[in-house]
Amino acid sequence: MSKRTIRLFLVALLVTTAILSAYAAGIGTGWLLLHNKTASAEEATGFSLFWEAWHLVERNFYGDLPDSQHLAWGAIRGALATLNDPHTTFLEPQPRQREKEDLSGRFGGIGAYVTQAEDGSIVLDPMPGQPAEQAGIQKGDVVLKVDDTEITPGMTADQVVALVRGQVGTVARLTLRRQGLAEPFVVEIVRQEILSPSVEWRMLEETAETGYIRITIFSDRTDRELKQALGELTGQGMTHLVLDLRGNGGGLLDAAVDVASEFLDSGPVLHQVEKGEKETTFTARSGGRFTTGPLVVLVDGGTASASEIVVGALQDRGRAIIVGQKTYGKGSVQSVFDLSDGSSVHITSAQWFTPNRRQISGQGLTPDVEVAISDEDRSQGRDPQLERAIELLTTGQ
Amino acid sequence: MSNSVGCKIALTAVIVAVVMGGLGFITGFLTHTVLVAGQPPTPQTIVVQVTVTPAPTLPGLEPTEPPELPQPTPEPTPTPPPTDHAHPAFDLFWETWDLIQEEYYGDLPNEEEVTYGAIRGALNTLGDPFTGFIEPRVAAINREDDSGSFEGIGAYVTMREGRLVIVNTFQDQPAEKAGLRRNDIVLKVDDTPIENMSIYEAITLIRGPAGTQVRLTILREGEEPFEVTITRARIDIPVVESEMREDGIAYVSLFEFSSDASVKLGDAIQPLLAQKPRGLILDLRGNPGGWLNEAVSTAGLFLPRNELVLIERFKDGTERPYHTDKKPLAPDIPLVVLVDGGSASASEIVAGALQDHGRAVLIGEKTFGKGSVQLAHELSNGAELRVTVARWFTPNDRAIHGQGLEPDILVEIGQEDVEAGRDPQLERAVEYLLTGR
Repeated sequence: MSKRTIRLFLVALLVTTAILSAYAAGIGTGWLLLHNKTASAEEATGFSLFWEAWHLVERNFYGDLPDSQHLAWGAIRGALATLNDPHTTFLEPQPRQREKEDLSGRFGGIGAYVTQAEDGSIVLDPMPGQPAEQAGIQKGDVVLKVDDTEITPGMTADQVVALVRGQVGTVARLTLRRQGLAEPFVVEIVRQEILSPSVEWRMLEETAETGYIRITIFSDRTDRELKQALGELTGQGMTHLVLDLRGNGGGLLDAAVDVASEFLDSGPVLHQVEKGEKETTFTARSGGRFTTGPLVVLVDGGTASASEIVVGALQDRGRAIIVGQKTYGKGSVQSVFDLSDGSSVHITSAQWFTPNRRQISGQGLTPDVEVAISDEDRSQGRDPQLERAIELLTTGQ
Repeated sequence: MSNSVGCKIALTAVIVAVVMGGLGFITGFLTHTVLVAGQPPTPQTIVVQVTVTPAPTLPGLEPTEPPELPQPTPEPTPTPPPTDHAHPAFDLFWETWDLIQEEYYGDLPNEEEVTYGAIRGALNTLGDPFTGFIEPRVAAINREDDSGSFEGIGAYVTMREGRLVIVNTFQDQPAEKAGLRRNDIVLKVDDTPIENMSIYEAITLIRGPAGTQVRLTILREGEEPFEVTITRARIDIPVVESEMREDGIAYVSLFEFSSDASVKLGDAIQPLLAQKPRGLILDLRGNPGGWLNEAVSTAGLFLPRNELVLIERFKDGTERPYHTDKKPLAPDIPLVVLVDGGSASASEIVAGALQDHGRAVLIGEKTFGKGSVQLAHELSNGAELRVTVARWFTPNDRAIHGQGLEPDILVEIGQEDVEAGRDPQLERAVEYLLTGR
C-alpha cells in the first residue's frame, strides 16, 4: 500500500469520525437544551422542598429505602390526596390491568373461579366448557404454584387471579393439590379469551310475563348482552320487567347511555359539565327494545355512578318506578389516563346531572317506593325489594 | 499537490461536520419534542365507577405512642442540593400532575400543599409511622407552645395504615369522659382531615390549652362517623404509684418516663426499702416510654455503675453505648419487672437491660417492640422532618424494634380476669418472689 493511499485512508477516517461526533454532539446539545428547560421549570414550582426532605431521608433513615418507581408512586398518591377527592386515584399497573379486563368484559385466562377457602388456601372452580375444565381441573383443587411463583399463605385470591391471567395463547402452568391424591400434580393450560358477563336474565317464576334482568357492571359488552337479554325475554312473552341495579358500582359512561337507550326513546339521559363549565347533553338513541312496557328498577346504597345515571334518567322521565333504598350518590365522571410505566390515574373531569338537573353528588337518588332489606331477610334468602317490585307490576300499586 | 488535496479534503470535512452537527442538533431537538409532544395521553375511557368500600376492619391492639421524642439532640445537617435528577422514574410524578392540571374538575390545591402531600406520600413508602413530616404551621405551634404538650384530651394514640387510632384513654380525663374508646379512629380534628398526616401533626392539632374545645370526627367499627366535642384539660398523670404489700413484697408502678421519672421512682422506692421487703415488683405494663436518659437512670437504680444499658446503632453502623452512671439505690433486692404489649420504647430499654444483666425476671406478655430513634430536622421553609435514624439494642445485642422482648415467665391476662378484678401477672410475680420459682 502506498503512502498516499494510507494518508487518504487516514483523512477519510478522521473526516468520518469528525462528522459522526458532530452529529452526536448536535443530538446531545439539542436534547439537553430542552431537557434542562423542563428541569428548571420543575425547580421553579417550589417543589425543591420535596428533594430537601427526601435527601435527609436517604442519608439518615435507618431501614430500607424504596426504589425510585415506588418513591414516585408514593409521591403521586400523596399529591392526589391533597385534592380531597376520593375518586381521583392512582392505580398501579396490576390493578389497572384488572380494571381494564373488568370494563372490557373479557380477558386472557383459564376459565375458573378462584376463591379463598376458609383455611386460607386458594381453590379453583372451573367454568363449564372452558379451558380449565377441559384440562381436567376439578372443583376444590388447591393451587400451590402458578408458573414459578409459589402461593404463600398471605396471598389473596386477587393476587392469584393476576398470576393466572395473561395473554391469550400463552401457557399457564399450575401446580395443584387434589384431595385423595398423595402427590401434587402439574397442569398446563393455554390461556384463552374468557368473557365475563355483565348481564344475567330470566323470566320470573312467581308471575307470568314478568322478566328479570340484573346488570352487575357497565362494561364494553353490556349493551350487546342487554339487547340479547331483552330479545330472548320478549321472545318468551315478557311484557313487564324488573331491572336490578343493586350493588352495581358503575362502569363506562357510554354503556350507561346505551342501557338507558333501551328503555327511553330519544330525549336527554344526562347533562355533563366539564372544566370551564362546558356542558354536554347525552341523549338516548332511538330504537330501544323496551320503551313502553311497565318497568321497575331495584336500587340500594351500592347503586352508584353509571347506575345512578340510568336510574336518574328513568326516574326523571317518568319511565320507571324506582324501588329499594337510597343510592350511593356519586355524580362525578372520571377520565382514565394510562401513564408511561403501565400505571394509571383516574381524574375527576366532570360532574353530571339528571335530565331535570338534579345534583347527585353526596345526595343519591331516593326511590319512589322505599323498601329496606334486613340481614335477617338475607340469611333466610328473602328479597322483600324484589317481592315489592313484582307486586307493583302485577297489581299496579 | 498532495497538500492542496489535503486542504480541500479538510475544508470539505469541516463543512460536512458543521452541517451534520446542525442536522444532529435538529434531530436531537425534534426527537425530544416529539417524545414530549407525543406523550400527552388521550383518555382511553371515560369511567363512571365507584367501589363502595366495606367498613374498615380494625387490626389488633398495638399500643404505642411516644409522648415525647426520645433523647437525641438534633444535629445540624448541611442543606443538601435542592433538586434531584438521581431519580429518573420520578418523571412519572410530573406526567401525572400535568394531567391533573389539565383535566381535573374542581379547585386545585396550591403548590405548597401539593408538595407537602407528595412528601407525606413518599414518607409513607418507608412503612415507618415514626418518620413523619410536620408542616410549618404545625411545627411553629410545637416550637412555641411548651406547656401545650401537657394539655390535651388524655389519650394515647398510634398510627395504623395512615389513620390515627386511640390506644388508650386515661381514667377520668376528658377523652374518657367524652366516651372515646380504644380502637376509635380519629378522622378529623375540628374540620381538618388528618388521614395521611404524620402522628406528630395529628397530636399537635388535638392538643391545646386547657379550657379550649376540640371537635373530633370519630369512626367506630359498625357505626356511622360521628362528632365529639371535648374540652381540653391539663392532664396530670400520676407518674409513680407504690405500695408495701402485706405479704412483704414492695410494689411500684411507673406510668411513663417523664422528665423526672427516675427521681420520682427513687423517692418511691427508698421508703419501701427501709421496710426490708422480701422482693420488689416494678410494673411497666402499659408504659409507652418517654425520655431515653430517664430510662438509663431508671436502669441505674438497679444496676451497678458503668453497666451497659443499651446500644444505639445508626444507619452507617456507628454505635453509641449508654451506661449507668450512679451508685444504685437497689442493687440486690430480688426484682420482677411486669411487662405487656403496652410496654414500649423506654420501658423496653429498662426491661431489656435488667433481663440481659440477669438483674430481674420479666413476667407478663411480650413487649411492644418500639426501639427506634428519631431526629428532628428543620426544613428551609420552617417545616420539620422527623426521621428514624437509629435503633436500640439491648446489652446482649438483641434488637428491640419490631421484635419486642419475650418475658421469662409468660402469663396472659384474659377478659374474664379483668372483669373479675384479678391480676394473674401480679399474682405470679408475688409467687415468684416468695418462692424463688
